Parts: sequence; structure tokens; C-alpha cells
Amino acid sequence: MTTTELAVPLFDLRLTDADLAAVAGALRDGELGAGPRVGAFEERFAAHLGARHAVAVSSCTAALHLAYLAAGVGPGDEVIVPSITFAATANAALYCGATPVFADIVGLHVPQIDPEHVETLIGPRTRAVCAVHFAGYPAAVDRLRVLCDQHGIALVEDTAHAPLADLSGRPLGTFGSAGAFSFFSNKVLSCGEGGLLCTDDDEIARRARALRAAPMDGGTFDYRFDGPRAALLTSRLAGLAADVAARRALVHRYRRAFAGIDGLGVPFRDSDVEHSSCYVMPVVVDDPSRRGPLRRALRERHGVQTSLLYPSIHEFTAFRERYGEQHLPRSQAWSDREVTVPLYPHLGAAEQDRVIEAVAQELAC
Amino acid sequence: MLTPTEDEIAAVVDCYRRGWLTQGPGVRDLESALGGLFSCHARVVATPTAALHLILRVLGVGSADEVTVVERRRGEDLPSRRERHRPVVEEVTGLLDGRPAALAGDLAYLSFAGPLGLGSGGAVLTASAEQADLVASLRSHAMTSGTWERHHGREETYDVVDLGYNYRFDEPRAVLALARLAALGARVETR
Repeated sequence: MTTTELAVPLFDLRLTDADLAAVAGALRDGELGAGPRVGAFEERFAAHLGARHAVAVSSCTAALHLAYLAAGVGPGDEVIVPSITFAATANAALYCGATPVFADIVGLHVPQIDPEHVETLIGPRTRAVCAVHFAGYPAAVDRLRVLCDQHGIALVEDTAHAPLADLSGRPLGTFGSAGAFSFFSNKVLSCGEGGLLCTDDDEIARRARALRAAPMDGGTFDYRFDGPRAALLTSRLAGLAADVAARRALVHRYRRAFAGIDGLGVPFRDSDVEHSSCYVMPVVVDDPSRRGPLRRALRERHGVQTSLLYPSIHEFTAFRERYGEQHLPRSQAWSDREVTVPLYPHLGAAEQDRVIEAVAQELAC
Repeated sequence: MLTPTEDEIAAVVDCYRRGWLTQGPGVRDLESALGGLFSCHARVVATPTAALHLILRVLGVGSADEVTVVERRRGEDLPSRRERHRPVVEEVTGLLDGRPAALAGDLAYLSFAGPLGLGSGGAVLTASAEQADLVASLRSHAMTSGTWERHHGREETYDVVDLGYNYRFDEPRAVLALARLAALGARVETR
């Protein structure tokens, strides 16, 4: 089935006339590189988050790389990361010459890095722990903050999924030495390619800005951002709260419907939804052998696109070749059972019902 | 940097309106156009720094290796391919007088900042399809399928087969680069 036949895509990006006018304004002013609009967006985002600094960069991968470097991660060090995340969370440690060490998740209902497992992995070479706020729901960064402080190591937050999410009222991204946000197309706040590092630490912000610059400007990586994308994000930031509210309402509706389907599990609790930016809607099938056929049937028979967030990183060829087989049973169970169903702010009730009915029908067979 | 014309602004804004912003058909069209100009394979990346990094990865340059950096004088020829003992990487600076040009180096890179007047973007140029494929893989996390393929139902999942990066360019910038490249060609035709 092609896109045109897809009745319900996994995500859909719809920009407003105001968003488009903001982009056109930046282009008309010739701000094709880093100019005043980038600075203005950084100020706006920092204020929205309640962080001292925001440094806009070319991607979340770049933000993670700079966050690790600024935390002092270097050759020979270890960074503890979850395996249920995008590969960049671990790759950014490799860019620093460090080794990613994989921690398991808490379980199928809490697919977040497990602080108890993290504690057993901390050793003399551990320099940092990276907590991923999976699907926009808070990982246990309060407990991890205490744990990292006890061991004198850094906590970095991978907030790619989680703008406008909180733990006990405190914005995600403000618990660690730095937070790394993503503005990739399918994200909650998106502009195509883009990312941002936030921090309260003046020195970390200074280092991140210096490393972000191009080599010819005395920088290193050329992770710079530009005016049109900054203008778009500034415009979209104004609608973020409404977008997240729409996502939360859709997630509550999914949760009520999916609760009655045999063979299907729904992670997180109802009360977690109000603290999440609800980036995606993950569900887990009880029987992993049904996952592949379910995804195929949803696409081919019902025009419903799904995804898998995520295949466990430790099982990718590149990581198996480097580190051999690793035993992370709960991450494995998640990767074998998870299905991500469509979610975006303007997903209509009819489309959502189509997804719900398709899942119910296929699992009833 | 060159301020976009109203036509260019309209093309970029239209791309944003369509809503597909991740590397897709626009980037592929830009690669075809560059590949046509230089009679080779072109892979577009986020920056010229990224292009050079990926070239060094393709050549297997590691931490113990040395790379000789030389400035080539105007009109000076590179040693012929047979005379070389090591791969030669060339920075293409005179792109784009709009006319087809042959590459002297084994691999080349260029920046969209100069000739196209953009704020970012660059490309890797190579005669080798295999090297071009490796660049394409490494610029997007060495994943076996991209967002475009998965969105269009061609792939269900992916593997990660190497240490890759996010060095992708995006569609709106590719649309602008392509418009500028076409304009450059048209100006030369007129002259």
C-alpha cells in the first residue's frame, strides 16, 4: 500500500499559515545561517523550559554528542544508556571515544531505564548516565539524579520525545547536567532536522556553543542551526501546549478503547498521561509471534501505518559485532512485542476509530 | 549568503506546506543534478565538514593515520591516477560555473555556501557507487532503511550496521539548493 492509499499514517505534519509566514520572513531577510532568529528561538525555548541556556543545533544526535563532551565523557569512559531508544543515544558516546553500557528497562508497563539496574552497572570508568524519556513520559530522573550525585557522575537527559513534559511538576530536561531535544519531522515540536541542548550550567553552555561552530570560525563540528528553522520553531512553540493537549486527549481515548482488548497491553498509567508530551502511542502484544502479522494486516488490510519503537540497540549488527551478545531480558521482551500506532494532534475521531477497530479485529482472529 | 528571490521563497514555503521535510525526493533530485554536472555519484549532507568526515570514514582513515593537506595552485594538475600512492581527496571550489566538470581526485567534496549562497549543506562526489552507498548509509545512522522508506510501507523495521551519524540535509534546503543550481546553469547558458 502506498502513502496515498494509507488511510491513517503514523504521523502527519501540518503547518499553519503563521508558521509558513515565519519561514518566509526569515528567507526574505536572507537569514540562511545562524542569525537573530536562532538567538530569539533559544531564548524563547529556555524560558518555556525554565532553563538558563538553550543552544540550538543541527540535530538531537549533535545535542547528545555535545552534552556528553561537556559532561567530560572521553576515550576510555563508559556511558550507561537504555537499549530501548534510538541508536544515537549510544552512538554519541562512541563519538566521544567512550563505551555505551546498556541498562535494562523497568518492564513492559514502564519501558524506561531501570535505576536499580543502572546502580549495578556503575563502575570506575562510568562518567555519565543518559536517561531517555521514552514516548514523552518521564524516566526516573529524580532517583537517577541522586544516584549520579552519590557517584560523582553526570546525568544527561535524552529529551528527544519530551518537550513540555514533567516529573512532579519539574520540566524534563532540567534534572541533568544537560538535556537534548529533537526537532526531527515526526517529533512533538518539529522543523525537519534540528535539535537543542539545554542546561543551567554556564560552562556547559559555553562549551556547547564553541563546539557547535564551524571549523573556519574556530569551532569543531559545524552543528549550527539556521534562521528559517528557528523562525518555524518559534512560531510552532506558541501552539505546542495546544498540540500536547490534543495528543493527551487522543491517548486517553486510545487507552480506554485498548483496555478492553484481549492479548494487548498498554504501558504507563492513566495518571502519567498529563505529565507526558505523548510523542507516540505504544502498545504491546502478549504473544510476540502475533506482532509481525498484526503490523502487516494493519497496513495491508486497514491502511494503518505502524512502527516499532524501538528495536533494542544492543541487538543491532553494529553493536553485536562490537560487544557480543548481551542479556537484557526486559528490553528484549519489549522489542519483540511493541507496536506504535498513529498519533498526531489533528488525528480525527474517525481515523482513530479505524485504528482501534483494526487492532481489535486483527487480535480477535 | 544570497537572499532568496520571491520564486525561491515560494518554492521553499510550498515544501513546508506539503509537510514532508525529512530527506526525500528533493534531496534525491539535487543529488541527480550534481551527479550529472560532475559525471559521478553525489550524496548531499548537512555541511561540508560532514562531507569531509564521511570521506575519511569511507577511506578508512583512523586515529593513527596521517592525512597530508596541501593547497593546490591555480592551474596545477594533480598527479595522474597511476602515479598516486594514496587516495586524493579534492575540495571542489569552482563548482558551479554551471558547466559539467571532471573530478581530478578520487573523492571530492563541496560546500553549498560559496557557489549556491546557502547557509549550510555540502556534498560528497565519487565515481564509485559503493562509496556513494556507504556515504548514504553513514549520513543517516547506518540504518538499513530511512524514514521515507518506512513511511511508504517498504520496510517494517531496520538494522544498524555501522557507526553512523545524523548528517542529513532536509527537503526545504534541498529545494532551495536545486533552484539555485538550475539558475546557475541558466545564467551560464545565457552568457
